[in-house]
Amino acid sequence: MSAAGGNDRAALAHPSARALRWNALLTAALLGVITVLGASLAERHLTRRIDLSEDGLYAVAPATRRIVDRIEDRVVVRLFATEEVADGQYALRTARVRAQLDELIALSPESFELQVLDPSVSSEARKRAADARFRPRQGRGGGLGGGASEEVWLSLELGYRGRTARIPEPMPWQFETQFASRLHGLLSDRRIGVGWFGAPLDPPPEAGDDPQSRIAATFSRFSYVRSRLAEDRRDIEVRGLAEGRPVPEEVDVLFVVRPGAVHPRAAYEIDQFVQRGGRLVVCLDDHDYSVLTGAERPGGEGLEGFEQSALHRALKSWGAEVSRQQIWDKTWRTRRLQFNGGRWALVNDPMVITVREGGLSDEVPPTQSLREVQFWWAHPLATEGMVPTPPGVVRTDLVTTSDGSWLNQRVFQLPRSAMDVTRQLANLQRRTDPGRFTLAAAFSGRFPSPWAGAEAPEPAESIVGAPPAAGVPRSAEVDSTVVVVGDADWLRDPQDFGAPIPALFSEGGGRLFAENLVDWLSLDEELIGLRSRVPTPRPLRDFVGEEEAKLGVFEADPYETETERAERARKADRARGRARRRQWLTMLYPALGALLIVGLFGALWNGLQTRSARTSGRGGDA
Amino acid sequence: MTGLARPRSRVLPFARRELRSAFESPVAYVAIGLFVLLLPALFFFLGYPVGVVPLPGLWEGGQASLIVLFHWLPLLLAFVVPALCMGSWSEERRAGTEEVLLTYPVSVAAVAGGKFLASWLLAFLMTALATLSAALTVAALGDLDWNTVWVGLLGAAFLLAAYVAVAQCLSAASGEQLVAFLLGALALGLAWSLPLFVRILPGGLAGLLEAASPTQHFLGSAARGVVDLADLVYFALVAIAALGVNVLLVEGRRCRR
Repeated sequence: MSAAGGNDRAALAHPSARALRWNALLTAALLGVITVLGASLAERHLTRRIDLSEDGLYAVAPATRRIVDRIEDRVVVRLFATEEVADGQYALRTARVRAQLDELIALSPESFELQVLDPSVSSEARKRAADARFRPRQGRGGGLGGGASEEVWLSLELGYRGRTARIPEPMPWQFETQFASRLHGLLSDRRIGVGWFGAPLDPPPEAGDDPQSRIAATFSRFSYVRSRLAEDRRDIEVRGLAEGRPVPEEVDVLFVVRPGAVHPRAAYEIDQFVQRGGRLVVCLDDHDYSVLTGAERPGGEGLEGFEQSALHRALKSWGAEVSRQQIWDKTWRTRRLQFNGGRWALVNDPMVITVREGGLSDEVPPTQSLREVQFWWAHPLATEGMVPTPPGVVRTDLVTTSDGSWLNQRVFQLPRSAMDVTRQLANLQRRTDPGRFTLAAAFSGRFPSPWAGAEAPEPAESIVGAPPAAGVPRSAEVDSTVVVVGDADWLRDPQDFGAPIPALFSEGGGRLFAENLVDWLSLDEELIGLRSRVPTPRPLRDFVGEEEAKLGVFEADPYETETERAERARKADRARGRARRRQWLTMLYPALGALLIVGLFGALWNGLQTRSARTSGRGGDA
Repeated sequence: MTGLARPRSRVLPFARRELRSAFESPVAYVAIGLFVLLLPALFFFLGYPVGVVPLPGLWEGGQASLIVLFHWLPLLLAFVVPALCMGSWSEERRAGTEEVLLTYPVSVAAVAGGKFLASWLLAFLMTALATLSAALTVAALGDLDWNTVWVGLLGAAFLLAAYVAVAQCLSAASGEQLVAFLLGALALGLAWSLPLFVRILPGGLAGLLEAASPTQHFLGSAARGVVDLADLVYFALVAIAALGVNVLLVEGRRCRR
């Protein structure tokens, strides 16, 4: 063995500090690379995910699986997406949608054919995207400086048996619902038709900057719910009923919203639609109010007008009648904004009722999966005892108020302040006991026609020619379902006044209720399961409300004296103080408990250590 | 090779030693106490004002959920964990006890494993106490989804494993406690802030940064009650890699002696 060979072996056995440092550096770099690669491989290939949360929003819904299981042929999924996105945010959005799409396709890979087209680089793909009316979004371009803007494409088209459905803007946080509902529509042979009659067909208020126009803009409109329903269904304006034109054949579900004084022939056509098996949703309501000022819309007919109509008589003969009285629900009252003397005021309004669990029926799908629905200035349905249902018709109450509700005469001016509400509530409480009232009910069965054995009413004069001749009125030949709701505001467009609490209207659960109703009435219950995927509201306890109730702050006499008012203010202050104290105690008790555990553990630990040290010391001495 | 045959018997004595020294000084109690008060206080009153959509505090939001508290965890722990781990190796070096430690007939991996286990247990105890005390408050106020709490704690355990391993690795790389803390807080703080740069970074880099961010891996799944295998593997890989580098650094010093 040579001396050089011996030195080499020694160098290998005892490497120098420099060699060791390089070694460590290289291994560290290698470990870093392995970590990054391993993490991205895991991200791509380890798709095992278990959603243990109670809401289960992060796993594929059973309804989606059922819809995918119904595919008989191949569904062609065309993803129009820019592959190289310079804008980081859009790149992540594309990646998230793509990941979810892959997950959905993986449910049944043989049922889907995925085609990825990039309109940014292919003129053919661009033409197809333009044919589908897809539009790119403008990204900010790459680099820290922002760079030039770029077109970012992300849209989806589904093709099945010659039919197509499109998702122009896939949203990562609701992509599954978007995909499954489009797929569901695609698998159906025809699209459900939703007809509208009544207030939704009224001309929109004049746009303008003057105060009157601005107030007019706060009266009710119904375009939001209609447009949402029209995403997967046909939206049909039903006109010409009074002139003797029947409800179009393609209408499956007809919404009659705040109808007013319906012409007798229109009422007859609606009745005959039901007699043919068509499904009807009637939303009866009083005059239209401006949520901003509380003023009535001029020229409205309200329930008085409706009560004169033949449609009212028809509904009453089926067991449905809506009272003119208004419901005040103390338990499920809701905060709303009121424009009061040039200032915004928050009113805890018992006439704005947010119906929650306990008020939504568990028996039928449209309300089973709902969390809450908001009703504004609603009217009760008469009980079955007061207006009996005819033989062969079954009534199911869908929505009821809380037990703490009262009926009040119609108010001509909405309560303008909290004090106003308190006074009127106290007055009601003195007069009658609280009760529970029905806000919406479904009637199913064969409905007797009020025109059975008689002739159809004469149509109104028409300028578009003679209507088709009316046949012999049909009566109770086929099953149908009629839903009657004592409010129309749950369908109204949401309004945002730039203030902290906008008027939610249909966004307070009404839109979901409407979509569920349509799916239930058109026998399409899978979508209800899909739509119910929203986080469960988990409200905190209202300590202030509880303490106020305990101290009886709301049970004041409306004609109280100055002394009594001062006493009530003192009580309210005391309630707030007690609520604050309870809040603090609820926060402090667990934290102090945790600190106590740590302290006790420390004392025990150190005690044991001292004892063992003493023992070993004594042992050492011995 | 007893060390290879029974590695646990080598790791546990070091973990016990570390825990004993931690619980003998009042620093651990003060740190735990402060954390138990601070984290719920931020959750109750401040909310989470970071990011595109600031989250309201418990009282303002009015919902019985711990999601805001879990949002705070990656950020707070990015500073608390380096503070807990700063002395793990650097203090041994400064006091000269590292030389004694390394003369024991055990592998450096066992010593590093013991130190890691002890710090991880301490950090997890602190996090669990703070989270559970806040959870008890929320459960008394509303209908809390306890499943998300348990899954969140599981995710926090993995997040802590990665944080502790990185902080200890940086403690092993520096000779001073303060330097170890600053390096650890800087590294973990940067890792936490990665998703904030996503909006201004080009596409590919944004995706890479998001994949590398512990915040995203924790908040995207465990904090919402979802057990995602890919996220757990990510945390495990980071912890193993950081521990590996830690062992290499200390082994290098041992060989030089």
